[in-house]
Amino acid sequence: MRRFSTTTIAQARKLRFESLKDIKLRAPILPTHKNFDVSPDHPLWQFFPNGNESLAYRPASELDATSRSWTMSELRHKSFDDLHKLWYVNLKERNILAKEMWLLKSIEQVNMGQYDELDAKLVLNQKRIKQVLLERQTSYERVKTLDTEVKEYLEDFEQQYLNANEQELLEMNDKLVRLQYAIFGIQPTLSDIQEVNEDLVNGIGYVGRLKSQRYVTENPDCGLELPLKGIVEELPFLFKQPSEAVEEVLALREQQTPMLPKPEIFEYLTNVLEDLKASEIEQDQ
Amino acid sequence: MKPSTVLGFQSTAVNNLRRPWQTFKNGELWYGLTKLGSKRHPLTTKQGNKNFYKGTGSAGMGKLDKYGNFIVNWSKVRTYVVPTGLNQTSLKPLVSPEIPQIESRYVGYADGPKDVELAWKNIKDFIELGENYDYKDLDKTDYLEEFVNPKVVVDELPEEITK
Repeated sequence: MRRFSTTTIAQARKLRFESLKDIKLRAPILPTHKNFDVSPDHPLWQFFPNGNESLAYRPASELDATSRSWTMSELRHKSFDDLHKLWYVNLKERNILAKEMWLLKSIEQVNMGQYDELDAKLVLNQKRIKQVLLERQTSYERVKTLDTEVKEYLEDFEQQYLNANEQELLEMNDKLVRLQYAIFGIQPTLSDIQEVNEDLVNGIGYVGRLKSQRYVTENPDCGLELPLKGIVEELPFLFKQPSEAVEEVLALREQQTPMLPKPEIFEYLTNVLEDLKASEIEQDQ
Repeated sequence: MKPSTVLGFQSTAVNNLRRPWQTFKNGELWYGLTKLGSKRHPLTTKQGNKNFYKGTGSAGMGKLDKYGNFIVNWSKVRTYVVPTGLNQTSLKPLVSPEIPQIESRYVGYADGPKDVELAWKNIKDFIELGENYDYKDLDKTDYLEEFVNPKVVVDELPEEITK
């Protein structure tokens, strides 16, 4: 047999109030539904079709039976961000349906066919979204294998850029920004670049070579000897005006900074990008 | 493969009939319900011996240390990236039946939307023409969208496309 310990008995002694006059009584709480009403913007209302104004479940007659799923052709027109949003819109709708079907399971004699049909349409949406993304990934990986075509195109573009007159140059610069993005994956603004990889290094090399050559042929007296030596000299041409970049390169050459060895290129670029992001954050503050 | 004569030393006529050889004491087969049919499937969570833990790739987001504190392994913690502006979006999960469906046709691209030539053409068009390089007014084409490879000679196309 288990017995009460002495401490338990001691704790179970009678309650005594020091002075009953100090105790304040408040008005009794009336038992109404308002005591446990949930605030209307509670995130869990997202499990209901009309937020806090919806009923526990929609009857089958109120379900959308006529609408169709998105087709592949329609989804192929959408950007990644749109597809991402659409996925979540689908997911929320499916959550609502799943909640209603769970509730209806406990109610007898309810035909859940319509709920299932609607859910099947949403599942089809999600499958198609995944399929479209897979298509994009496949063609991206396939294009990555087109070495000779890309090389030829880049050489052609180089010739066009160097031979362009001043009016065409503005347009060519716009094209170059798009080319950086499409072929080397370089974002238009430096702080948006997330990842340092081989493509980024190649892209910086290409852009640096292009812009420096153009500048030197226009201003032969600038005193810059080509080719540029390594990533440290090429990087300024990516986001600065060519004249500023040339000044920076000349300053670097005066200091006689040695050429960066290949294994240190990635580290150098990551440091530069991090510094840039840190300085941007400081400017914002 | 090893020769079957070496592996099959147990295969007397009687033994072969009693495959798989391991049984429970009451004569029930050790694995599976029958000895017929395909057996070489991945194990489920309910199979295997005491050391077999299959799991679902979920949970197990950390371990207890020797003092009983739970140490979270953040690489196993699931993260859900919710798109920004989800609440402001006008996208709907389903499309109205009144909206005409787009018909896509790929001519000269063997692998359709995944074709490498098409992808490379799109990249070049993007560089040359800018962001809306592939904008087409589908109202005018009766919601038919065509991707014709420039290498395809026009005479060889079926009539409806050249119109």
